[in-house]
Amino acid sequence: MATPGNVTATLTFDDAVVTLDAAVRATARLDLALEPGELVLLDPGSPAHAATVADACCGLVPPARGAVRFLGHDWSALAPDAANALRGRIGQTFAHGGWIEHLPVIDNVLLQQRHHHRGDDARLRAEAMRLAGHFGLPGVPLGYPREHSPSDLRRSACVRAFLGQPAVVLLDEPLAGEPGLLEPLVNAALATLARGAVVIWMTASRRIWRDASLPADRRLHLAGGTLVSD
Amino acid sequence: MSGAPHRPLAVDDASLPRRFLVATGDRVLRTPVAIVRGAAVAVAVLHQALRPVSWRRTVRAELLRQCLHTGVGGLAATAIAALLIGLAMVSQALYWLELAGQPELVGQILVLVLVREIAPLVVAFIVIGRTGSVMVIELGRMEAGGQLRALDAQGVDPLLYLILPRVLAMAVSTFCLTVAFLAVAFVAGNLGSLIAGFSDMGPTELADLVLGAMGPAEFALVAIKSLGIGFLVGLVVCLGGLAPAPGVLGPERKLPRVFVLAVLTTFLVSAMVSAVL
Repeated sequence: MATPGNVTATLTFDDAVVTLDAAVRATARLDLALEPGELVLLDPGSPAHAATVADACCGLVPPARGAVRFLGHDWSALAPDAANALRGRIGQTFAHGGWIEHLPVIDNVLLQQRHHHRGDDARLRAEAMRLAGHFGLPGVPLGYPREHSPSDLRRSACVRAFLGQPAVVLLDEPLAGEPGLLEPLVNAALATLARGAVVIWMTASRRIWRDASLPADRRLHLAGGTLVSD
Repeated sequence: MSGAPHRPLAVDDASLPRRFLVATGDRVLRTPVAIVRGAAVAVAVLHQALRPVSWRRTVRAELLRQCLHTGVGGLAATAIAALLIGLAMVSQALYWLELAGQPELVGQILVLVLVREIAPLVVAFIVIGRTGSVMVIELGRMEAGGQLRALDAQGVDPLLYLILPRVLAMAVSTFCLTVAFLAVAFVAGNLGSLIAGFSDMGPTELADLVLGAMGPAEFALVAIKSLGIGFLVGLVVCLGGLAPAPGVLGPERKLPRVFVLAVLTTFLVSAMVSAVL
């Protein structure tokens, strides 16, 4: 449970009521504090709910009640520029890919880091190449997204999510159709947790849910509008 | 208030006059709302353009990409259009005015017709057809495919990354292409009339007459009109492309409406600037 004023937590849902589906007035009451180095396995119930929860984590969906805090900042109290700058510290895989079609994959992968940081481009590319190797790619694909296989794009999405040492990594069904990614993904998640980041792994897959190799600190279901521990 | 909760009136439930009123009211309200929204985005774009912090390397790269696509990519089409219009218009002006014994009027007439009116309009139509249509599809696919949400989630403001570079690139490219159009049209028309024997007026003489007929207002008009048309057409194209697609149909369905809006905007800006300057 979230403690009001919890300053050590990386991401806090402070009794936040989030609208999951406005058409049927479905809401979820989230009360959760994620400490540095914590991995949470979350079954949001549906792909649409997963996207909404991810958006709530990034401050894109303001809660109807309560607050969502990232690194101690209440998203709803932040100016747009400050909120965008903080989102630069969240790595994410998107269920629908989220690839900009007119940019090569490598530019898509580097976009977030290049937008928010002034760091050396060569160093950023070197880190992306290292991560690409970790996820089983010979390098970050140079072609446009439509020119690459779904498998290459899924692996590239993982590179994008872990690039630049994010404070939170949101993984939305990262293994869909790519079970071979489990091991490199778990290893990348462990390295991320070791440096004090938070990983939220959202999946509806029972196989992953029961996989003992996944070192989840908590396993949560979103059911009946609340988070239930497994 | 007590009793049953309020239920909005569904159009299907309503009588024919009521449906007519709802449809008419919706259409009447939609236009001013769209204009106010467009004006707000225009102000936001100008505001962001003036902030140094907006010009991150990703935004600069996107501006360069859009300038190359709109400006450099549109150069060939503009040159061909300028060649044809120059041959037809400048040659004819030289021919008829020499025949009438008033060749000194060629500068005033060409400035009045070609420089002030035709050049900015033709270039705007080339930019709308060549770049605007691509932008509508490109942005429409991003809206439909969830890439806008992905950008937002990465903290990349779509206004900054998508709209600002496109609108500014369209404005700058329209201005540069208009200047290129005028240069090619005058050279082609002058050379054409010399080769065809319509006139013996040389390029220097023609340039003197044209530049002599251009006061500060004409120089300002070319710049303001082409920049204004490019800016507002860019805005119409971006907002049209990013608007939700009608029904379940693809972003291509937005194209006719955005095209017509962009052309009408071009005429409106052109007429307003011509009336003022």
